[in-house]
Amino acid sequence: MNSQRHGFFPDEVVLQILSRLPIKSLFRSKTVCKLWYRLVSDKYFIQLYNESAVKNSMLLVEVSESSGLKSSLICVDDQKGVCEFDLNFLKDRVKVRASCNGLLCCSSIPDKGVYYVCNPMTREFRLLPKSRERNVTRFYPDGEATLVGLACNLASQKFNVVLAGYHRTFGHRPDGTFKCMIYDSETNKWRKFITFQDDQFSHMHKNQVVFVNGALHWLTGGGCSCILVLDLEYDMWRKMSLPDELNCGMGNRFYLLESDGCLSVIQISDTWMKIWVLKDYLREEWRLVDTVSLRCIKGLVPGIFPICQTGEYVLLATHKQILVFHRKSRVWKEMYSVKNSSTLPLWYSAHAFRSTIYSCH
Amino acid sequence: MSTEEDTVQEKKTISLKTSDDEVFELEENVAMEFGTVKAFFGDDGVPRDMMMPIPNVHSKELTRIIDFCTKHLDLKPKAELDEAGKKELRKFYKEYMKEDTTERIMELILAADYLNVNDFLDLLNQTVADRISNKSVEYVRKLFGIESDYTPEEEEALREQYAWAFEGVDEDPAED
Repeated sequence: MNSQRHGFFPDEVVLQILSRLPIKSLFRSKTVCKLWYRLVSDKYFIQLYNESAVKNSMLLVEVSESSGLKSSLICVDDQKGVCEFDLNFLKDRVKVRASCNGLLCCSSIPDKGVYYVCNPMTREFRLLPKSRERNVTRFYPDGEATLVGLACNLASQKFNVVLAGYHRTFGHRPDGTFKCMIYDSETNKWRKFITFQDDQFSHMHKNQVVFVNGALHWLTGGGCSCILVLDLEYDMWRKMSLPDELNCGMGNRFYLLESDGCLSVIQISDTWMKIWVLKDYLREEWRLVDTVSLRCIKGLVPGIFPICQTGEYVLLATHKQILVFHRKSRVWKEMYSVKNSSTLPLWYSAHAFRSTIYSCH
Repeated sequence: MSTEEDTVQEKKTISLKTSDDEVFELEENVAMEFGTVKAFFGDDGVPRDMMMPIPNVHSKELTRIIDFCTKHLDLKPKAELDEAGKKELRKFYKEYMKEDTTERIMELILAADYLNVNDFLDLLNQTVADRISNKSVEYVRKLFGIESDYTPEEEEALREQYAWAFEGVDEDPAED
Protein backbone atom coordinates (compact mmCIF):
# COMPACT_ATOMS: atom_id res chain seq x y z
CA MET A 1 0.00 0.00 0.00
CA ASN A 2 1.38 3.35 -0.94
CA SER A 3 2.03 5.20 2.27
CA GLN A 4 1.47 8.58 0.66
CA ARG A 5 -1.75 9.98 2.08
CA HIS A 6 -3.87 12.23 -0.02
CA GLY A 7 -4.58 14.79 2.63
CA PHE A 8 -2.95 17.11 0.20
CA PHE A 9 -4.75 17.23 -3.08
CA PRO A 10 -4.44 20.46 -5.03
CA ASP A 11 -7.63 22.54 -4.75
CA GLU A 12 -8.10 22.57 -8.52
CA VAL A 13 -8.25 18.79 -8.57
CA VAL A 14 -10.80 18.74 -5.74
CA LEU A 15 -12.86 21.33 -7.63
CA GLN A 16 -12.76 19.26 -10.79
CA ILE A 17 -13.99 16.19 -8.94
CA LEU A 18 -16.68 18.07 -7.05
CA SER A 19 -17.91 19.78 -10.21
CA ARG A 20 -18.84 16.37 -11.53
CA LEU A 21 -20.99 15.35 -8.59
CA PRO A 22 -24.78 15.29 -8.66
CA ILE A 23 -26.36 18.00 -6.53
CA LYS A 24 -27.21 15.93 -3.44
CA SER A 25 -23.68 14.55 -3.18
CA LEU A 26 -22.29 17.99 -3.82
CA PHE A 27 -24.18 19.54 -0.93
CA ARG A 28 -23.26 16.65 1.36
CA SER A 29 -19.62 17.30 0.55
CA LYS A 30 -19.96 20.72 2.20
CA THR A 31 -19.84 18.86 5.53
CA VAL A 32 -16.57 17.05 4.76
CA CYS A 33 -14.44 19.93 6.02
CA LYS A 34 -14.43 23.72 6.05
CA LEU A 35 -12.17 23.99 3.01
CA TRP A 36 -14.60 21.97 0.93
CA TYR A 37 -17.47 24.12 2.19
CA ARG A 38 -15.66 27.20 0.93
CA LEU A 39 -14.75 25.57 -2.38
CA VAL A 40 -18.32 24.53 -3.13
CA SER A 41 -19.80 27.86 -2.07
CA ASP A 42 -17.38 29.82 -4.19
CA LYS A 43 -19.00 31.92 -6.89
CA TYR A 44 -16.53 30.74 -9.51
CA PHE A 45 -17.25 27.11 -8.69
CA ILE A 46 -21.01 27.67 -8.89
CA GLN A 47 -20.60 29.27 -12.30
CA LEU A 48 -18.38 26.40 -13.47
CA TYR A 49 -20.86 23.83 -12.22
CA ASN A 50 -23.90 25.55 -13.69
CA GLU A 51 -22.35 26.13 -17.12
CA SER A 52 -22.01 22.40 -17.46
CA ALA A 53 -25.35 21.60 -15.81
CA VAL A 54 -27.42 23.79 -18.15
CA LYS A 55 -26.47 21.72 -21.15
CA ASN A 56 -29.03 19.18 -20.05
CA SER A 57 -32.59 20.29 -20.77
CA MET A 58 -35.38 18.65 -18.78
CA LEU A 59 -39.14 18.86 -18.65
CA LEU A 60 -40.93 19.84 -15.47
CA VAL A 61 -44.63 19.23 -15.15
CA GLU A 62 -47.30 19.25 -12.51
CA VAL A 63 -49.21 16.01 -12.14
CA SER A 64 -52.33 15.76 -10.07
CA GLU A 65 -54.19 12.86 -8.58
CA SER A 66 -57.59 12.12 -10.03
CA SER A 67 -59.25 13.76 -7.05
CA GLY A 68 -57.48 16.95 -8.03
CA LEU A 69 -56.58 17.52 -4.41
CA LYS A 70 -52.96 16.56 -4.40
CA SER A 71 -50.41 17.55 -6.94
CA SER A 72 -46.70 17.03 -7.24
CA LEU A 73 -44.02 17.84 -9.72
CA ILE A 74 -42.18 15.43 -11.91
CA CYS A 75 -39.00 16.08 -13.80
CA VAL A 76 -38.26 14.16 -16.98
CA ASP A 77 -34.62 13.77 -17.94
CA ASP A 78 -33.72 12.20 -21.28
CA GLN A 79 -31.05 10.02 -19.71
CA LYS A 80 -32.10 9.58 -16.11
CA GLY A 81 -35.82 9.17 -16.66
CA VAL A 82 -38.51 10.47 -14.38
CA CYS A 83 -38.11 11.69 -10.84
CA GLU A 84 -40.65 13.17 -8.52
CA PHE A 85 -40.24 16.06 -6.16
CA ASP A 86 -42.26 18.71 -4.46
CA LEU A 87 -42.14 22.34 -3.42
CA ASN A 88 -43.39 21.69 0.11
CA PHE A 89 -40.35 23.50 1.50
CA LEU A 90 -42.09 26.71 0.45
CA LYS A 91 -44.80 25.98 3.02
CA ASP A 92 -47.42 27.33 0.66
CA ARG A 93 -49.59 26.06 -2.18
CA VAL A 94 -48.02 27.39 -5.36
CA LYS A 95 -48.22 27.33 -9.10
CA VAL A 96 -45.05 27.33 -11.18
CA ARG A 97 -45.14 30.37 -13.45
CA ALA A 98 -41.66 30.46 -15.00
CA SER A 99 -38.43 28.48 -15.07
CA CYS A 100 -34.91 29.62 -15.92
CA ASN A 101 -31.46 28.07 -15.47
CA GLY A 102 -32.45 26.03 -12.45
CA LEU A 103 -34.69 28.51 -10.64
CA LEU A 104 -38.46 28.55 -10.59
CA CYS A 105 -40.76 31.50 -10.11
CA CYS A 106 -43.94 30.43 -8.34
CA SER A 107 -47.07 32.31 -7.38
CA SER A 108 -49.00 31.55 -4.24
CA ILE A 109 -52.42 30.10 -4.88
CA PRO A 110 -54.12 31.27 -1.70
CA ASP A 111 -52.29 34.63 -1.54
CA LYS A 112 -52.65 36.53 -4.77
CA GLY A 113 -49.70 38.72 -5.55
CA VAL A 114 -47.25 36.65 -3.50
CA TYR A 115 -44.33 35.28 -5.48
CA TYR A 116 -41.40 33.03 -4.66
CA VAL A 117 -38.20 32.29 -6.50
CA CYS A 118 -36.75 28.92 -5.57
CA ASN A 119 -34.26 26.27 -6.58
CA PRO A 120 -36.17 22.99 -6.25
CA MET A 121 -32.95 20.96 -6.19
CA THR A 122 -31.22 22.77 -3.35
CA ARG A 123 -34.46 23.87 -1.64
CA GLU A 124 -33.26 27.43 -1.34
CA PHE A 125 -35.97 30.00 -1.82
CA ARG A 126 -36.62 33.68 -1.64
CA LEU A 127 -40.00 35.21 -0.91
CA LEU A 128 -40.21 38.27 -3.11
CA PRO A 129 -41.21 41.50 -1.44
CA LYS A 130 -44.68 42.63 -2.33
CA SER A 131 -44.41 45.38 -4.86
CA ARG A 132 -45.59 48.60 -3.30
CA GLU A 133 -48.20 48.83 -5.96
CA ARG A 134 -51.52 47.86 -4.49
CA ASN A 135 -52.74 47.07 -7.91
CA VAL A 136 -50.41 44.19 -8.59
CA THR A 137 -53.70 42.37 -8.58
CA ARG A 138 -55.28 44.89 -10.94
CA PHE A 139 -53.93 43.21 -13.98
CA TYR A 140 -56.59 42.55 -16.54
CA PRO A 141 -58.44 40.30 -17.11
CA ASP A 142 -58.15 38.07 -14.10
CA GLY A 143 -56.05 39.96 -11.62
CA GLU A 144 -53.02 37.93 -12.52
CA ALA A 145 -50.10 39.12 -14.60
CA THR A 146 -50.44 38.12 -18.23
CA LEU A 147 -46.77 37.48 -18.63
CA VAL A 148 -44.46 36.13 -15.96
CA GLY A 149 -40.79 35.88 -16.76
CA LEU A 150 -37.69 34.80 -14.87
CA ALA A 151 -34.27 35.84 -16.07
CA CYS A 152 -31.31 34.15 -14.37
CA ASN A 153 -27.95 35.38 -15.50
CA LEU A 154 -25.43 32.58 -15.08
CA ALA A 155 -22.35 34.74 -15.01
CA SER A 156 -23.47 37.45 -12.61
CA GLN A 157 -25.72 35.08 -10.64
CA LYS A 158 -28.31 37.82 -10.34
CA PHE A 159 -31.88 37.32 -11.45
CA ASN A 160 -34.94 39.32 -12.44
CA VAL A 161 -38.61 38.50 -12.21
CA VAL A 162 -40.95 40.20 -14.64
CA LEU A 163 -44.69 40.61 -14.18
CA ALA A 164 -46.36 42.28 -17.12
CA GLY A 165 -49.88 42.75 -18.26
CA TYR A 166 -52.69 44.99 -19.24
CA HIS A 167 -53.69 47.34 -16.58
CA ARG A 168 -57.09 48.53 -15.70
CA THR A 169 -57.62 51.34 -13.26
CA PHE A 170 -60.42 50.75 -10.85
CA GLY A 171 -63.84 51.18 -12.36
CA HIS A 172 -62.57 51.62 -15.93
CA ARG A 173 -62.21 49.43 -18.96
CA PRO A 174 -58.70 48.35 -20.00
CA ASP A 175 -57.02 51.01 -22.10
CA GLY A 176 -54.09 49.36 -23.80
CA THR A 177 -51.78 50.31 -20.97
CA PHE A 178 -49.19 47.59 -20.62
CA LYS A 179 -47.60 47.64 -17.23
CA CYS A 180 -44.30 45.95 -16.63
CA MET A 181 -42.88 45.31 -13.19
CA ILE A 182 -39.34 44.07 -12.81
CA TYR A 183 -37.82 42.64 -9.66
CA ASP A 184 -34.06 42.91 -9.23
CA SER A 185 -32.47 40.29 -6.98
CA GLU A 186 -29.50 42.51 -6.20
CA THR A 187 -31.50 45.46 -4.88
CA ASN A 188 -34.40 43.29 -3.69
CA LYS A 189 -36.74 45.88 -5.16
CA TRP A 190 -39.36 46.20 -7.86
CA ARG A 191 -39.35 48.88 -10.52
CA LYS A 192 -42.01 49.54 -13.12
CA PHE A 193 -42.52 51.10 -16.47
CA ILE A 194 -45.51 51.49 -18.70
CA THR A 195 -45.95 51.20 -22.44
CA PHE A 196 -48.85 51.06 -24.82
CA GLN A 197 -49.20 47.93 -26.79
CA ASP A 198 -51.77 45.55 -28.03
CA ASP A 199 -50.51 42.00 -28.13
CA GLN A 200 -52.36 38.79 -27.51
CA PHE A 201 -50.93 35.63 -26.02
CA SER A 202 -52.20 32.08 -26.00
CA HIS A 203 -51.80 29.97 -22.85
CA MET A 204 -48.80 28.10 -24.22
CA HIS A 205 -47.19 31.33 -25.39
CA LYS A 206 -47.45 32.76 -21.91
CA ASN A 207 -45.79 29.70 -20.41
CA GLN A 208 -42.99 29.54 -22.92
CA VAL A 209 -40.76 32.44 -22.09
CA VAL A 210 -37.12 32.17 -23.19
CA PHE A 211 -34.19 33.99 -21.63
CA VAL A 212 -31.22 34.41 -23.98
CA ASN A 213 -28.87 37.27 -24.78
CA GLY A 214 -29.93 39.18 -21.67
CA ALA A 215 -33.55 39.45 -22.76
CA LEU A 216 -36.85 37.67 -22.21
CA HIS A 217 -38.79 36.50 -25.25
CA TRP A 218 -42.43 35.55 -25.77
CA LEU A 219 -44.38 34.60 -28.88
CA THR A 220 -47.34 36.79 -29.61
CA GLY A 221 -50.52 35.36 -31.09
CA GLY A 222 -53.21 36.87 -33.18
CA GLY A 223 -53.04 37.44 -36.91
CA CYS A 224 -49.46 38.51 -37.33
CA SER A 225 -47.22 36.66 -34.96
CA CYS A 226 -43.83 37.81 -33.90
CA ILE A 227 -41.55 37.63 -30.90
CA LEU A 228 -42.01 40.15 -28.13
CA VAL A 229 -38.73 40.94 -26.44
CA LEU A 230 -38.09 42.57 -23.10
CA ASP A 231 -34.60 43.94 -22.97
CA LEU A 232 -33.68 43.90 -19.30
CA GLU A 233 -30.71 46.17 -19.62
CA TYR A 234 -32.69 49.08 -21.03
CA ASP A 235 -36.20 48.26 -19.81
CA MET A 236 -37.50 48.30 -23.33
CA TRP A 237 -39.92 46.22 -25.32
CA ARG A 238 -39.14 45.45 -28.93
CA LYS A 239 -40.16 42.93 -31.54
CA MET A 240 -38.31 40.33 -33.53
CA SER A 241 -39.61 38.57 -36.58
CA LEU A 242 -40.13 34.88 -37.04
CA PRO A 243 -38.56 32.90 -39.88
CA ASP A 244 -39.87 34.15 -43.22
CA GLU A 245 -40.87 30.70 -44.32
CA LEU A 246 -43.14 30.11 -41.38
CA ASN A 247 -46.58 30.09 -42.84
CA CYS A 248 -49.25 31.23 -40.45
CA GLY A 249 -51.82 29.18 -42.28
CA MET A 250 -54.49 27.03 -40.76
CA GLY A 251 -53.34 23.89 -39.02
CA ASN A 252 -49.93 25.34 -38.37
CA ARG A 253 -49.00 26.17 -34.87
CA PHE A 254 -45.66 27.18 -33.50
CA TYR A 255 -43.90 27.48 -30.19
CA LEU A 256 -40.93 29.33 -28.80
CA LEU A 257 -38.21 27.30 -27.13
CA GLU A 258 -34.53 27.53 -26.41
CA SER A 259 -31.92 25.43 -28.17
CA ASP A 260 -28.53 25.37 -26.43
CA GLY A 261 -28.55 29.09 -25.73
CA CYS A 262 -30.27 30.20 -28.94
CA LEU A 263 -33.88 31.11 -29.65
CA SER A 264 -35.74 28.38 -31.46
CA VAL A 265 -39.18 28.06 -32.98
CA ILE A 266 -40.83 24.70 -33.48
CA GLN A 267 -43.63 24.52 -36.01
CA ILE A 268 -46.13 21.67 -35.98
CA SER A 269 -48.44 20.85 -38.86
CA ASP A 270 -50.45 17.69 -39.44
CA THR A 271 -47.51 15.72 -40.73
CA TRP A 272 -44.34 17.63 -39.98
CA MET A 273 -42.47 19.17 -37.13
CA LYS A 274 -39.96 21.81 -38.20
CA ILE A 275 -37.25 23.15 -35.96
CA TRP A 276 -35.85 26.61 -36.55
CA VAL A 277 -32.92 28.06 -34.65
CA LEU A 278 -31.91 31.70 -34.55
CA LYS A 279 -28.28 31.34 -35.51
CA ASP A 280 -27.47 35.02 -35.66
CA TYR A 281 -29.33 36.96 -32.97
CA LEU A 282 -28.31 40.46 -34.01
CA ARG A 283 -28.99 39.90 -37.70
CA GLU A 284 -32.15 37.89 -36.92
CA GLU A 285 -31.05 35.06 -39.18
CA TRP A 286 -33.05 31.89 -38.71
CA ARG A 287 -32.02 28.49 -39.92
CA LEU A 288 -34.21 25.46 -40.45
CA VAL A 289 -32.22 22.76 -38.68
CA ASP A 290 -34.58 19.82 -38.83
CA THR A 291 -37.76 18.60 -40.46
CA VAL A 292 -39.29 15.67 -38.62
CA SER A 293 -42.01 13.46 -39.98
CA LEU A 294 -44.85 12.98 -37.51
CA ARG A 295 -46.14 9.87 -39.22
CA CYS A 296 -45.38 7.47 -36.39
CA ILE A 297 -47.17 9.57 -33.77
CA LYS A 298 -50.00 10.46 -36.11
CA GLY A 299 -52.79 10.04 -33.57
CA LEU A 300 -51.10 12.32 -31.07
CA VAL A 301 -50.35 15.21 -33.37
CA PRO A 302 -53.35 17.46 -32.68
CA GLY A 303 -52.59 17.51 -28.96
CA ILE A 304 -48.81 17.49 -28.84
CA PHE A 305 -46.71 20.44 -27.67
CA PRO A 306 -42.92 20.80 -27.72
CA ILE A 307 -41.64 21.93 -24.34
CA CYS A 308 -37.84 21.85 -24.36
CA GLN A 309 -34.91 20.64 -26.42
CA THR A 310 -31.19 20.43 -26.95
CA GLY A 311 -29.36 19.90 -30.23
CA GLU A 312 -29.85 16.16 -29.68
CA TYR A 313 -33.47 15.72 -28.57
CA VAL A 314 -36.87 17.33 -28.18
CA LEU A 315 -39.18 16.71 -25.19
CA LEU A 316 -42.89 17.05 -25.90
CA ALA A 317 -46.08 16.80 -23.87
CA THR A 318 -49.57 15.67 -24.77
CA HIS A 319 -52.64 15.43 -22.61
CA LYS A 320 -51.38 12.35 -20.81
CA GLN A 321 -47.86 11.62 -22.02
CA ILE A 322 -44.34 12.96 -22.17
CA LEU A 323 -42.45 11.93 -25.29
CA VAL A 324 -38.86 12.39 -26.41
CA PHE A 325 -37.62 12.52 -29.98
CA HIS A 326 -33.94 11.80 -30.59
CA ARG A 327 -32.79 13.72 -33.63
CA LYS A 328 -29.83 11.54 -34.58
CA SER A 329 -31.54 8.17 -34.40
CA ARG A 330 -34.97 9.61 -35.41
CA VAL A 331 -36.57 7.56 -32.66
CA TRP A 332 -39.63 8.52 -30.58
CA LYS A 333 -39.92 7.23 -27.03
CA GLU A 334 -42.51 7.57 -24.33
CA MET A 335 -40.90 8.82 -21.12
CA TYR A 336 -43.97 9.11 -18.91
CA SER A 337 -47.66 8.59 -19.01
CA VAL A 338 -50.38 9.55 -16.59
CA LYS A 339 -51.92 6.64 -14.72
CA ASN A 340 -55.28 8.09 -13.88
CA SER A 341 -57.62 10.50 -15.56
CA SER A 342 -56.10 13.81 -14.61
CA THR A 343 -58.01 17.00 -14.59
CA LEU A 344 -55.58 19.09 -16.58
CA PRO A 345 -53.53 18.06 -19.61
CA LEU A 346 -49.81 17.66 -18.96
CA TRP A 347 -48.88 20.27 -21.54
CA TYR A 348 -50.89 22.86 -19.65
CA SER A 349 -48.33 23.11 -16.84
CA ALA A 350 -45.16 21.88 -18.49
CA HIS A 351 -42.00 23.95 -18.35
CA ALA A 352 -38.45 23.62 -19.61
CA PHE A 353 -36.16 23.05 -16.65
CA ARG A 354 -32.48 22.67 -15.81
CA SER A 355 -31.00 21.30 -12.66
CA THR A 356 -28.38 23.71 -11.34
CA ILE A 357 -27.05 24.99 -8.04
CA TYR A 358 -28.03 28.55 -8.91
CA SER A 359 -28.57 30.28 -5.61
CA CYS A 360 -31.43 32.63 -4.91
CA HIS A 361 -29.77 34.17 -1.87
CA MET B 1 17.89 22.77 -41.13
CA SER B 2 21.11 20.79 -41.25
CA THR B 3 21.22 17.35 -42.76
CA GLU B 4 22.78 16.04 -39.56
CA GLU B 5 19.54 16.67 -37.68
CA ASP B 6 17.53 14.92 -40.35
CA THR B 7 19.49 11.68 -40.16
CA VAL B 8 19.79 11.57 -36.34
CA GLN B 9 16.08 12.26 -35.68
CA GLU B 10 14.65 9.40 -37.71
CA LYS B 11 12.45 8.07 -34.92
CA LYS B 12 11.38 11.10 -32.95
CA THR B 13 11.44 10.18 -29.30
CA ILE B 14 11.48 12.08 -26.07
CA SER B 15 13.25 10.87 -22.92
CA LEU B 16 11.75 11.24 -19.48
CA LYS B 17 13.42 10.31 -16.18
CA THR B 18 11.09 9.37 -13.34
CA SER B 19 11.45 9.77 -9.57
CA ASP B 20 12.79 6.21 -9.27
CA ASP B 21 15.50 6.96 -11.85
CA GLU B 22 13.97 5.01 -14.69
CA VAL B 23 14.32 6.45 -18.17
CA PHE B 24 11.42 6.17 -20.56
CA GLU B 25 11.64 6.83 -24.26
CA LEU B 26 8.33 7.86 -25.74
CA GLU B 27 7.26 8.65 -29.24
CA GLU B 28 7.11 12.41 -29.60
CA ASN B 29 3.40 12.57 -30.41
CA VAL B 30 2.56 10.68 -27.22
CA ALA B 31 4.92 12.78 -25.12
CA MET B 32 3.37 15.97 -26.45
CA GLU B 33 0.04 14.91 -24.90
CA PHE B 34 1.71 15.82 -21.62
CA GLY B 35 1.20 19.56 -21.22
CA THR B 36 4.23 19.82 -18.95
CA VAL B 37 6.49 18.13 -21.50
CA LYS B 38 5.09 20.26 -24.31
CA ALA B 39 5.80 23.41 -22.34
CA PHE B 40 9.28 22.21 -21.38
CA PHE B 41 10.43 21.67 -24.95
CA GLY B 42 8.37 24.48 -26.33
CA ASP B 43 8.79 26.01 -29.71
CA ASP B 44 12.08 27.63 -29.09
CA GLY B 45 15.26 26.02 -28.39
CA VAL B 46 15.27 23.17 -25.89
CA PRO B 47 16.73 20.34 -27.95
CA ARG B 48 14.43 17.36 -28.23
CA ASP B 49 17.19 14.92 -27.44
CA MET B 50 17.62 16.36 -23.96
CA MET B 51 16.31 14.17 -21.17
CA MET B 52 13.55 15.75 -19.13
CA PRO B 53 13.43 14.93 -15.43
CA ILE B 54 9.98 14.34 -13.92
CA PRO B 55 10.88 13.90 -10.24
CA ASN B 56 7.25 13.92 -9.04
CA VAL B 57 6.22 10.92 -11.09
CA HIS B 58 6.99 7.28 -10.35
CA SER B 59 7.60 4.84 -13.20
CA LYS B 60 4.52 2.89 -12.20
CA GLU B 61 2.27 5.90 -12.87
CA LEU B 62 4.11 6.93 -16.00
CA THR B 63 3.70 3.50 -17.55
CA ARG B 64 -0.05 3.75 -17.10
CA ILE B 65 -0.26 7.29 -18.38
CA ILE B 66 1.68 6.36 -21.50
CA ASP B 67 -0.64 3.40 -22.00
CA PHE B 68 -3.71 5.66 -21.82
CA CYS B 69 -2.31 8.29 -24.15
CA THR B 70 -1.23 5.77 -26.76
CA LYS B 71 -4.65 4.10 -26.84
CA HIS B 72 -6.46 7.42 -26.68
CA LEU B 73 -4.44 8.90 -29.56
CA ASP B 74 -5.49 5.94 -31.65
CA LEU B 75 -9.20 6.10 -30.82
CA LYS B 76 -9.79 9.84 -30.83
CA PRO B 77 -9.50 10.50 -34.59
CA LYS B 78 -11.70 7.49 -35.31
CA ALA B 79 -14.37 8.95 -33.01
CA GLU B 80 -14.41 12.15 -35.06
CA LEU B 81 -15.13 10.13 -38.21
CA ASP B 82 -18.28 8.18 -37.42
CA GLU B 83 -20.75 6.81 -34.86
CA ALA B 84 -18.94 3.50 -34.56
CA GLY B 85 -15.73 5.31 -33.63
CA LYS B 86 -17.63 7.40 -31.06
CA LYS B 87 -19.11 4.26 -29.55
CA GLU B 88 -15.69 2.66 -29.28
CA LEU B 89 -14.25 5.71 -27.54
CA ARG B 90 -17.16 5.79 -25.08
CA LYS B 91 -16.61 2.10 -24.34
CA PHE B 92 -12.92 2.74 -23.80
CA TYR B 93 -13.70 5.48 -21.28
CA LYS B 94 -16.17 3.24 -19.52
CA GLU B 95 -13.90 0.24 -19.16
CA TYR B 96 -10.43 1.71 -18.76
CA MET B 97 -10.54 2.45 -15.03
CA LYS B 98 -12.79 -0.42 -14.02
CA GLU B 99 -10.19 -2.58 -12.34
CA ASP B 100 -8.37 0.13 -10.46
CA THR B 101 -8.80 0.79 -6.77
CA THR B 102 -9.83 4.29 -5.84
CA GLU B 103 -6.51 4.76 -4.06
CA ARG B 104 -4.67 3.87 -7.27
CA ILE B 105 -6.77 6.38 -9.16
CA MET B 106 -5.83 9.09 -6.68
CA GLU B 107 -2.14 8.33 -7.26
CA LEU B 108 -2.70 8.56 -11.01
CA ILE B 109 -4.51 11.87 -10.57
CA LEU B 110 -1.52 13.40 -8.83
CA ALA B 111 0.81 12.21 -11.60
CA ALA B 112 -1.51 13.22 -14.43
CA ASP B 113 -2.06 16.59 -12.80
CA TYR B 114 1.69 17.17 -12.54
CA LEU B 115 2.23 16.13 -16.15
CA ASN B 116 -0.85 18.06 -17.28
CA VAL B 117 -2.44 15.22 -19.21
CA ASN B 118 -5.90 16.73 -19.57
CA ASP B 119 -7.81 13.94 -21.29
CA PHE B 120 -6.65 11.37 -18.76
CA LEU B 121 -7.34 13.78 -15.89
CA ASP B 122 -10.91 14.26 -17.09
CA LEU B 123 -11.48 10.51 -17.05
CA LEU B 124 -9.80 10.07 -13.67
CA ASN B 125 -11.75 12.93 -12.09
CA GLN B 126 -15.01 11.63 -13.47
CA THR B 127 -14.22 8.14 -12.18
CA VAL B 128 -13.57 9.42 -8.67
CA ALA B 129 -16.69 11.56 -8.80
CA ASP B 130 -18.75 8.53 -9.84
CA ARG B 131 -17.26 6.51 -7.00
CA ILE B 132 -17.89 9.04 -4.26
CA SER B 133 -21.25 10.05 -5.60
CA ASN B 134 -23.89 9.05 -3.06
CA LYS B 135 -21.38 7.82 -0.49
CA SER B 136 -21.28 8.94 3.11
CA VAL B 137 -19.27 11.91 4.30
CA GLU B 138 -17.14 9.65 6.48
CA TYR B 139 -16.23 7.51 3.49
CA VAL B 140 -15.21 10.54 1.49
CA ARG B 141 -13.08 11.91 4.33
CA LYS B 142 -11.28 8.59 4.68
CA LEU B 143 -10.63 8.37 0.96
CA PHE B 144 -9.16 11.84 0.69
CA GLY B 145 -7.33 11.59 4.00
CA ILE B 146 -9.18 14.58 5.36
CA GLU B 147 -9.83 15.26 9.01
CA SER B 148 -12.91 17.29 9.64
CA ASP B 149 -12.34 20.68 11.25
CA TYR B 150 -15.99 21.14 12.19
CA THR B 151 -17.04 21.02 15.81
CA PRO B 152 -19.75 18.43 16.50
CA GLU B 153 -22.26 21.28 16.91
CA GLU B 154 -21.28 22.87 13.60
CA GLU B 155 -21.55 19.58 11.79
CA GLU B 156 -24.93 18.83 13.33
CA ALA B 157 -26.22 22.23 12.28
CA LEU B 158 -25.04 21.71 8.71
CA ARG B 159 -26.59 18.28 8.51
CA GLU B 160 -29.86 19.74 9.65
CA GLN B 161 -29.67 22.58 7.17
CA TYR B 162 -29.06 20.17 4.31
CA ALA B 163 -31.13 17.27 5.63
CA TRP B 164 -32.52 16.63 2.15
CA ALA B 165 -29.03 15.91 0.86
CA PHE B 166 -28.53 13.14 3.41
CA GLU B 167 -31.52 11.09 2.35
CA GLY B 168 -30.88 7.83 0.55
CA VAL B 169 -27.10 7.63 0.92
CA ASP B 170 -25.48 4.33 -0.12
CA GLU B 171 -23.91 2.09 2.46
CA ASP B 172 -20.15 2.46 2.60
CA PRO B 173 -18.51 -0.13 0.33
CA ALA B 174 -16.06 -2.74 1.67
CA GLU B 175 -12.44 -1.67 1.75
CA ASP B 176 -11.06 -1.48 -1.77
